[in-house]
Order: sequence, then structure tokens, then C-alpha cells
Amino acid sequence: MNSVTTIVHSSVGKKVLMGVTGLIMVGWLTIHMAGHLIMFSGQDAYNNYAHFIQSGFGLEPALLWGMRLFMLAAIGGHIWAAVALTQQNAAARPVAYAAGRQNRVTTYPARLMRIGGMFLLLYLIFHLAHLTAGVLSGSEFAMGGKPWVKEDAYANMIHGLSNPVIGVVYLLATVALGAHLRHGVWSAFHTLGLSDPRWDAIKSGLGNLVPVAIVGGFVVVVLAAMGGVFAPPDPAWHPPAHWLH
Amino acid sequence: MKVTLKVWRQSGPDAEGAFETFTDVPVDPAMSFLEMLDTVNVQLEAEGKEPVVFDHDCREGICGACGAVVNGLAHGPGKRSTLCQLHLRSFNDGDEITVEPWRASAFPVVRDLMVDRSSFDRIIQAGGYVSVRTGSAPDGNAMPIGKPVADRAMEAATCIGCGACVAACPNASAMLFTSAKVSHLGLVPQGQAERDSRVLGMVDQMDAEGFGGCTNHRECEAACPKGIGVEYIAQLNRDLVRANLGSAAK
Ligand code: FES
Repeated sequence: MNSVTTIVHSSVGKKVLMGVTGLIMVGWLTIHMAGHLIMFSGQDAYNNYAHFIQSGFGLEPALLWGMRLFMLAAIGGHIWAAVALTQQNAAARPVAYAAGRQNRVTTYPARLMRIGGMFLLLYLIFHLAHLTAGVLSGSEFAMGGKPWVKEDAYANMIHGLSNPVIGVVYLLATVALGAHLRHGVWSAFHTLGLSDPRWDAIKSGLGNLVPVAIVGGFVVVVLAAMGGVFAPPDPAWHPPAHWLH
Repeated sequence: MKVTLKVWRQSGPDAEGAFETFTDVPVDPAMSFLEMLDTVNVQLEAEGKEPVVFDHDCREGICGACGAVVNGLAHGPGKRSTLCQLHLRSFNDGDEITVEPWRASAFPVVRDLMVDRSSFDRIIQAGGYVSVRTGSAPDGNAMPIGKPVADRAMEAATCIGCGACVAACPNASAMLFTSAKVSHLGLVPQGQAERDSRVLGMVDQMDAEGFGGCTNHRECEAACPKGIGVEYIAQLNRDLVRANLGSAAK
């Protein structure tokens, strides 16, 4: 009671964790999306950007793993809070309304947070396997029969999206992400205590702008890849010698 | 006009409950919902049967005693209305109306439509007060409070503790109630001394009572007969973080 640990064990504390980890992911997604726009600058530029990330931001390869572990912790915390709160919420109303509880104002993005979140997790695992780890290298279905080459992220992206079925999966995931963020960004600010009505414009402004910007960026890149807007990758492209020490 | 009523009947906290249907109940559009239940009860008593038990007191929308879920809506289809302020003109001739108690593990059914809301009292006891020296009343305006702050505190203080926020919430969360009770004191100077212990204690008690957490559906705000807004939930969240950081620093 009345202890510093309230923040850890209380429902509000779990929501604070949910909000903070969510905003960390939003920050990461913004950079991820902006990086993808470099696709429009061609194979050299995009592969240089990918190498910059892969080499630990040009500093130290271990930094990449630090970043990955940090993101993994954020995702883990987000999921843990979601599961714990969902259990608490389910226990709070053991007997459902016979006439069915009617909603007055809530929105579909808000109601789909849990199922959408689970879909995004499945997508994330697929996406990492597909383009980050290259486990589907050479697959006719998922890579257009081309090998996955770590240093040639540009070619990986184009081959990976050459099958419209895969492209549609990516587009669906992007839409699901948009819906998740539509409710999540506003909620995160709300949970983190932006209560004054003066903040309302910022809360709903960013709550709308962030999902639109992130989804818009990803959709443009996926559609461009599917529609053949990007120049075909040069099969003779080789990473510069100094990348491979 | 006539309506068909499906009312939740349960003879005690541990008894098995079921709906009882009253067909062709004659009603007047100007009747309040509670007056309709009164007519049903007069009839039941004439037949030597147990009347439908429901909470009520002021019947003018100010005490917070009444409340039931009508066709899936807390306090029924009215806007900013308590059940006692809902009138039969909100329904049509021949309507079937389902009436059930608030459903939450923290609001166990006492009997029929009456639930035990003492969990709310225990949340108040965990910090929803100010400790003051008794004695003669202080001079009016001895403590200047800005009008916007006073208004926000007053809006939170209009909470009548009816429990509709819990009943309407998909998670049976008591965040709107608790946040209103934290904020109406926390916003004014008199509430500052206990501001941190108040929010810590009340949130602890709220969770201990078995209420759910807030997922920002804003159903509570839409069901609240006093129109109390979810900005108080954000205020509570901020106060809780602040209180934790404050006591961690000490
Ligand atoms: S009986 Fe008092 S608010 Fe309805």
C-alpha cells in the first residue's frame, strides 16, 4: 500500500509500461519507415543505408545487437503488460450482460487492439524471417526464386515483394499497424498523463498524424516495389571490399 | 402504451439468477423508468409475490443510488441521464426491454437489480478525503483558487458514484470514478498535503477490489450521467507517476 511499487504492480503502472514501450516502437518505426524511402534513391544508396545499420550505425557492430535487444525488451514489455491487463479485465466482469453490452462511442481500432496486436506479432516474426534473417532465401514463393544476400537489401526487398500475395500480406500488416497506432498513440499520451485540455490538439493531432505518416510511407514503398517503380536490381552488384572484413 | 419487460431476478448474492418476463405492462410515456418498476411491484405484491428489488433514493438524478443496464446500456438509452431520469417516452409501444444489474466482480449482486457498491466506499476510504482540523469554518475566499481550476475540480466533484462508468466499461474498470475522486481534491490547495498518498492508496484499493484496467474506449464518459470526461483519467495517471517518482526520490 502507498508504496513506490504501486507503479509496478498497479493496472495504471502496466499501462504506463504499455505506453512507454509503444512510443519506443513508434519512434523506431518512424526511422524504419524513413529509411525505406531511400529505396527511391537506388541500389547503392539503399544498400549503403542498410550497411550503416548492419555495421552498428557505422560505429560498432555490437551496437546493432544492443539496439535489437532493446527493441526486443520493448516488445516483450508491451506484450507482458497487454496479457496481464487482459487477464485482469476478463476477471473484472465474469458474468456478461445477457442483452449484450452496447457500445456508445468506442471505435473499431480501439476494439481491435488485442487481435490486431497478435496479428502484428505474427507479421513481425514473418517479416524478420523473410527480409532480416533471409531464412526463405531462394524460395520461389517468397523471394522470386532469388537468393537472399545480406549486403544487398535493395534486391532482397524487390525479390521479396515480387509475389503479389506477399505484397498483400505486407499491405495488410501496414493497415493493421495503422489501426493499432490510431488508438495506441493517443492512448499512450493519455496514459502518460497529458490531461490538460490544452494538450488535446497535440494528443489527437499526433494520434492521427503519426499513423498516417508511418502507414503512408510503408504503403508507398510496398506499392512501388510491387508496381515495378524501383529500377531492377543489378545482379552484378557487389558490396565494396571494405564492408567484408 | 404497453411494453414487455425482461427483468433479472436473483433471490440473494449466491443464488442462481434468471430473467423473469412481464408481458404487456401498461405504461405511460411520461412515467419514469422507476415508476414503471413501481407499477410492476404493486402488481406483484397484489399477487403475493416478491417485488423486484432495485436501488433508488432521490429520483431526481442527483444521489447516484439508482442504476441498471437497460438493453445493454448503463442507465438506458438517455444522454447524461440516470435511470430515474429515463422516461418511457424513450421507448415505443410493444418494445421488449431487458433490465439487468451492473455486471462487475467488484459489484456483486445483492438481489435482483441491486448490487453492492461498497467497493467504491473502500476506494474513498483509501484516500478520497482531506484531513483537516475541525473548528470554526474558514472564511470564504480565504484561500484564492483560480476560476478555471475551481471549475475543473467542481466538474470532477459532480460524480455521484452511481457506478455507470464501471457498468458501461468493456473491462469493468473504475478508472473514471477513481480519477474523479482523486482529481476533485487533488486540483485544489486543500488537497495538496495528501495528494501523493491519496492517488497511491486509491489506485491500490481500486485494483484490490477487482476492477479492470482502462483501455481508453471512453464508454464510461459516454455513460456518465454527469458527463465527467476522461481527462481526469489522464490526470490520475500523471498524479500516480508523479507520486511514485516523488516517493522514490525521498
Ligand atoms: S435515484 Fe438518485 S440518482 Fe436516481
